[in-house]
Amino acid sequence: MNPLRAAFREYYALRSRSIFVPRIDLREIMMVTFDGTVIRHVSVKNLESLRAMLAREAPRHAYYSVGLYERPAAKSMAEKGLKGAEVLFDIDADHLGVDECDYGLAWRCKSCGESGDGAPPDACPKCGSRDLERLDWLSEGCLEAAKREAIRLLEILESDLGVSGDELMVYYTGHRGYHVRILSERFLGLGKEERRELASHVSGLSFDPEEVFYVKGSVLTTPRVDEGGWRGRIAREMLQLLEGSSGGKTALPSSVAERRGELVRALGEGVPLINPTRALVRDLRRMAEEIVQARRVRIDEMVTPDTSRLTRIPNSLHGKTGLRAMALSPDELRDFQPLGDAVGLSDDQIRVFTTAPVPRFRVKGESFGPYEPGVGVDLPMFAAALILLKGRGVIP
Amino acid sequence: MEEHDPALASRYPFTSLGERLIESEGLTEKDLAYDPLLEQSRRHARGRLLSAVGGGLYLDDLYLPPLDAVATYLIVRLVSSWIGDPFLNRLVAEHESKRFHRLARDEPIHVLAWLGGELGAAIRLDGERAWIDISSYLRAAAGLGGPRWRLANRDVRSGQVLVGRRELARLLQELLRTHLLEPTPRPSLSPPLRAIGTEVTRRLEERKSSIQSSRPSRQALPPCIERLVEKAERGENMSHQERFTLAAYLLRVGWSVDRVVDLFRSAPDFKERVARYQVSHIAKGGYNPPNCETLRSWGICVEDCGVKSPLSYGRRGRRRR
Ligand code: SF4
Ligand SMILES: [Zn+2]
Repeated sequence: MNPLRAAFREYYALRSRSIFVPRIDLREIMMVTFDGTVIRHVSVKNLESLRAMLAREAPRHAYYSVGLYERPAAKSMAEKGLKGAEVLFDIDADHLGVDECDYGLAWRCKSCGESGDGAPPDACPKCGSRDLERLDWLSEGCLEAAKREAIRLLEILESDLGVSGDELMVYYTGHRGYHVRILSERFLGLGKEERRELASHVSGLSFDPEEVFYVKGSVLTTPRVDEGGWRGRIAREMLQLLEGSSGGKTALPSSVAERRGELVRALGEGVPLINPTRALVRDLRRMAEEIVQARRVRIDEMVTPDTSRLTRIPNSLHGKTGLRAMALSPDELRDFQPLGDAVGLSDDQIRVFTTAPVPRFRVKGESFGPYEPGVGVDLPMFAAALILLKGRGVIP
Repeated sequence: MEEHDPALASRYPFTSLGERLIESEGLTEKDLAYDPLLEQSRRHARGRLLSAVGGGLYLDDLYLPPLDAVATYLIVRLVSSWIGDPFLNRLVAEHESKRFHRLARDEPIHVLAWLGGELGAAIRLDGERAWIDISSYLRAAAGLGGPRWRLANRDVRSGQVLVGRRELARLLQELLRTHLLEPTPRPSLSPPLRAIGTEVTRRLEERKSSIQSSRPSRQALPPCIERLVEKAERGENMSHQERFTLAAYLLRVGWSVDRVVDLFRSAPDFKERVARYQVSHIAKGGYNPPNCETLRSWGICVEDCGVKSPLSYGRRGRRRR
């Protein structure tokens, strides 16, 4: 057996008790094996069967549905009979536009095997082929950025939607992101449009500064600090800016500084502001927009409305890293270190032959690399798995 | 206490007040079909159904005695379930909820709160305003256009959304509309009610054929455009970007300016002159609809169809057929 698959199997044999899926009998399960076979439309009665199945198949990827179905194993959505679906938010570091996420980027030519650092060039410098593979990597900075989004998401879900604690499920995907599911009964029945609305709420997409700084005739209504949602967040942050700037530290637009007293009363007590200048309205709206931009949660908006999604089974292994898709409590999330805490594979030594450059990396507190392409190195399984699954090495 | 005011059953026959009245009177389908005292209920029910099909608003029966009002409502629902046509169901839901709003918009806030509870929402009064639970808010506001209804612009705390009295009435209209769209089992009807059903069906078919002749097939519309067409037809408020996308797309696939203008006719703020000017401006400029990436960032994209522009979705879809 492929030593990698053997390592996955060992994990599922030893750690199967950590695998769990709430309401398992209503879920669709999907797996992708190491030889690329997709096993779909599977349902299992209970956790024991799921754990046994994982230990038997030792799949490369294992997923479960956000949907709860009457007949989860049916082939089509119509036959499955959707009873409800958890609300899913997907945070993927690839969408964050963070430089750290390009750390260790490399490429390899699919025709001749040539490889190099950085983004793939237009054509292979050696053989001229245009069939080049882009190879990404994991970096702590990138994963931190994703984690910060997840933490902000949880804050918004708690303050605005009133969901917290065991109404939520949070987990590291095992790769470059986080998933958050709302489990509470009262959200299960939401339709596509309603989910889209939730997505554009947390991502600030549907925020409109003209609504929040609302002008009617000569009266400007502002948000107030004791309000909830984006209105309250904006009011509180603006009030801080106004009060903090009294010493002249922060530069406020002059239109705003001139009316500071009135604005403090508007934001603090909801006293409408009379005869605002055009410049004032414009500047306030721009400031509000900036606050939302800085605090919005950059989720993948296409994911949330879709009730037919599947995500990784909690604590199963991710087939691109060998890391665990770890279920976390909101408290655990804060101190969570993916490249240490989510290691699930053993430290048995294995020899790997690199086929592309491998950057310097740290797993479980140990440093590895950098390695040139074409060298053999002996590594613990958890580090070797990363190189192998990221397509930068083979087992000789 | 308001909850026992019989006039409320007359205005809001779909509530538990209406149900209790049916029970205490032991009202059956046979009574609805044959009882001579319910003749005016049958007449009004017929009027309401035909009005729904014709796109009007039937208000002749606003102040019936409670039992007659409840009977009228029951007949409307029985006959439309009997016909079982999804398009009719939408028209009836639209009509009944509009009618509801006519009455509800003038009610004091505590009556609205009671109605909200009847429609499955959890509502807590806060002076002249009310907090509505977020799931109900989302269900209702999903069908409403305009930035004012977007959650991101509202006071939302711990799963509750603050709304004003008029806003609450509008949200309840939507909740009633979606409630009326829930599937119901097909009842069996006695001949007098079936006769109403037959007449309504005939009108419905006329309406359908007139719509079909005026509108080209929609088979190859990409999902984002499909959704915008539905929004326009339902007369929901649309953002400037949504209107532009829809008009540019339809003009590109060969719609005439007239036809595009017609599509926007149900918009609440429709002004013929303005719409015509804007649409022909887009037509003259030969604008392409924005590409999928832009549409995604505007929140207009609905799902990932694997194309770069909604226009190429159309092409692929048509070739496949
Ligand atoms: S992918 Fe393009 S065509 Fe498809 S829904 Fe999104 S925007 Fe429309
Ligand atoms: Zn090459």
